[in-house]
Order: sequence, then structure tokens, then C-alpha cells
Amino acid sequence: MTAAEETLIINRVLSGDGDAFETLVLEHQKNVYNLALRLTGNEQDALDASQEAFIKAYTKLGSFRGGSRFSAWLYRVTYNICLDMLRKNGRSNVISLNYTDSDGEEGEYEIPDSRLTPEDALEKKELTEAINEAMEHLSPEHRQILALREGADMSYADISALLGINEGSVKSRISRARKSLAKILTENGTFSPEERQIRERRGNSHERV
Amino acid sequence: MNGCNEFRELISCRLDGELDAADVSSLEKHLEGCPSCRSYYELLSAVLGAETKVEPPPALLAGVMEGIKTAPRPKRNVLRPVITVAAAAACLAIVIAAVGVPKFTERNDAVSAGGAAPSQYNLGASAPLRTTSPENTYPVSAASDEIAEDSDVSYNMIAESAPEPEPAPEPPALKSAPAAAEEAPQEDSVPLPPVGFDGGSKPADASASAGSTAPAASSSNDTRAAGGGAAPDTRTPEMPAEDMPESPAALPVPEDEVDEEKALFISPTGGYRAIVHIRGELPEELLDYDLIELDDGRFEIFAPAELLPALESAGCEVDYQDEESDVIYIVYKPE
Repeated sequence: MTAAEETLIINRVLSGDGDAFETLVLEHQKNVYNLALRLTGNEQDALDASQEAFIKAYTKLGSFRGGSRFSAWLYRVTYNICLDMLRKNGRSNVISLNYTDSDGEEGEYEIPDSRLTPEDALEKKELTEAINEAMEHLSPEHRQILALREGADMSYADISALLGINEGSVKSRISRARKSLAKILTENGTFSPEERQIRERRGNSHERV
Repeated sequence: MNGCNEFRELISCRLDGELDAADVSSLEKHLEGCPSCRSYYELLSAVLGAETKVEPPPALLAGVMEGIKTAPRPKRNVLRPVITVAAAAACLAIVIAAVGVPKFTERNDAVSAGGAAPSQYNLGASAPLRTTSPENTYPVSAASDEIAEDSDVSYNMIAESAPEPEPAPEPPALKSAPAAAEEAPQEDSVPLPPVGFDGGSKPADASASAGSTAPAASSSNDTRAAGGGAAPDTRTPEMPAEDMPESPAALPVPEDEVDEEKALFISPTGGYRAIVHIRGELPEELLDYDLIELDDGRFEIFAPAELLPALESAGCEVDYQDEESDVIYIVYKPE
């Protein structure tokens, strides 16, 4: 859906055509739900949060300003609802509320020593499961930013605006989150070290690690 | 190995499609000579290529469509945060000029409904929480309250009447009003700094909607049924020009009384310096700022970032900090 089409639909909703809102839900529900699922960590909360987000977006649609894309606005609504939900449930530790992140602490997550290859990756479905499981071992901050990036497909610029951090921090935080994820996936055997293949390929010559 | 660190970040960016051309070539060059980074690249590609998203349950859509049937209908917010206090007052002046006083007396039902029922947003000048320190009071509140006493005109009208501005006498502070008038029909496409959902409700907005949004909701049907071309309902497509009598004197808003900086707590990034959570009693530093009621009994407040240290030392919970923004966003829950 183009931005122009979306604006038309929004205007229809604002003009009293509530049914037109269905198009917006259909367009965005997957990202909203997956964002909520990654933030809240369970399906029931994700469903509740998603519904609340859409209904809130509906009632507050008049305060949406075309300056940002509707999706970014909607994800922010979703994000706030999820954080609120976690806070109410006393699980605020799930998502770190303090902006005491590790940006700038270079090398906190070591690059895995072993070379990695996806060639030994498990079957597709198992890979998905392994990734989801590994996600749960990430720090709340890393899980959060990957939820925004991969759950909701948000751009770095949108994430930057949402979290109130600059784009450089978004980049490095996402990268560190992924390094951490890669490390977990290697350590749990999802991806196995490539050493064997490297040796096969290059003999026992130098290993530049 | 350490030199690879930055390339790991470039790899991450590249897989997100967020790497610019110059970095792409330097990354490619590095990958040619670094098997370790190549492996990492392949691993991340596999991870990001895996379908980890799930389909939302059908109950989501069903619940939303059911829920919005009973939810309050959305209303257009005509006043956007970039419209300055002066422009807002000028817009209002145009409406009054264009529509004329008799229209308002015809709408007596709507007006009195607005006056009698305390608006859910109206914690403004008349609320006990607010003190009357002129320095810290948003000028827009003062202006709109003053005007509200006069006419209680709904700001929703502006969108409809503004496109046909009568040659009203131009008040001193009208400079932004014509622009606003042109924008009004396409308000959603006006390029603005990306403001978030909550960020959308600026103090200026709140004051503007105080006493206008709620009455519009309760009276829109009445006024429309009465066939009033000037109904404060945004669904009324346009107002017949012949309904506009000669303009009375516009409300002058001297420009020097307008402190735009205070009225526009909006950061260039749309972000906030901090999100502050307050429960119970409102700290006195915030007494002069507008409260905007949320659905769940809480309020949001936008305030300048310089209040942050005081709030922190008062023990308020602060969510995160962003040095780039001059705005703090406060969620306040009275208990």
C-alpha cells in the first residue's frame, strides 16, 4: 500500500467510515503482532496488546500527522502499550526501562572465535525455533531493538526516532545484538564452527583468526 | 580480529539495506580477504533469512473491528503543533470573522453542552491543578480560554471554513494563517517532524481542544441535523460561502505576547529527552503545564527538559535519556 493510498484510507476513516479501518489492520497486523510478540514474549499478551494498539490508533487517528509514516506511528503506539503492559504486570525487567545501555562499550560481546558457517544449519523450521530460543537469551535491550527491526521491519531512522537515540547508536546496538545472537547460536550448536572445512580447504596452513 | 568489529557492524547494516554505497565497497573489499567475516556474513544472512515471523491470529482483526464499534470515533485534530499560538488565534479570528457571531447563537445547544459538560481534556486554566503564574502558562491556553468564553467555537470548524477565507481584516499575527488555511484540507500530508503518537498531543493542541473536542462530539449530530452549514463537524465537507456574513472585528493577539518557544515543545527528532513517570501528587514544577488526558485515567504532559533534574531529584521514575531533545514527556497518574 502506498503512502497516498494509506492517506486516502485514513481520511475515509476520519470521515466516519469505520469499516475502512479494516484495510489498515490487514496491512499492518503482521508487523504489529510480531512486534508485540517479541516485546511481551507470549501470544496472549501479544494479541491483547495488538488489539489495544489498533483500537487506540483508531480513536486517536486524528492525531496522526502525515509527517511520519502511519506504520511508524502505529508501531510507536504498539511499543508504548507493550512497555506499559510489562510494567503493569510487574515484568518491567523484561524490557529494560533504563537507558543505561552498553553503547560505546566496544567489545563487550566478543566476536566468536570460531568461524561459522550456515552450511551445517539445521532444517529451516528447526532454525527458526533455534533463533527464537536464542532470542530469549538476549539482554532485554537487545531483544527490544531486534523486535523493532525484525519484528516490525522498522527502518533505522524510525527506530532512532522511537527510542530517542541517534542512528549510529541504533546501528551499533543492532549489530551487537546480532553478534550476541550469533554467539548463542554457535555455542548451542545451531551453527557449527567451520574449522574443519577451513582446514580441508586450505590445508593446515596459517589460520588468520 | 579486532579490526573486524566495525565490519561486523557494516555487515549487519548491509543485511538491513541500510548501508551506503561507499561502505558497501569497503565492506566487499574486506570480505574478500577475511574468511571470518565472510562466515559471519553468511551466518547472519541465514538468520535474517529465516522466517521467524508468525501469522497473527484471526482473533486480532475480529477483535479490533468489534472493538472500534464501541470505541470513540476518531476526530480530526486540526491544530497541529507547528501552528503557532499566534496563528491559532488568527485562525480562530478568521473563523469568527467568516462565520459571524449569529452562527454561534444558533448553535446554542452545542455551546451550552460544551459549557455544562466538563470536557475530558479540560484541566486547563480553570482546573485546580493549574496555577496562574503568567511566566509559565502557555500563552495559547490563555488565548484559547479567553476566546472560548466568548464563543466556545470548535476548532474543528477551522478545517472547513479556512479554505475559503473571507477578506477578513488581518490581525497583526496572521502570518501563518493563510498557510494553515491552504493546508487544512490535506492536513495529513503536511510534512512535519515525525512526532510520535503521544507526542502528537502538544500542549497547544490540548488547550485548543479543551472545551472543543468533547462538545463537538456531543453536539455534532444535533448541529448537523439542524442543517447548520457551519456545524463544527469535520465530516461537513464545505461551508456555503453565502452563509458567511460580514466579519466582525477579529480578535487581536499582539505578537509580543506570544512565546512560541514555550508553546512548541516538540523536538526535531520527535524524540524526548526523557520519559518520566509520576504517580500520586504532581510536583509543583509541573503545575503550570497542560495535562492531556489519556484514555486510562492517566495524563500526559510535555515540558521543557530543564525540569528534568528537579523531577529526578524528586524521585520520579525516568525511562531513558536522549541528549538531543529539549522535551520531556511525562506520564502522570493521579492516585
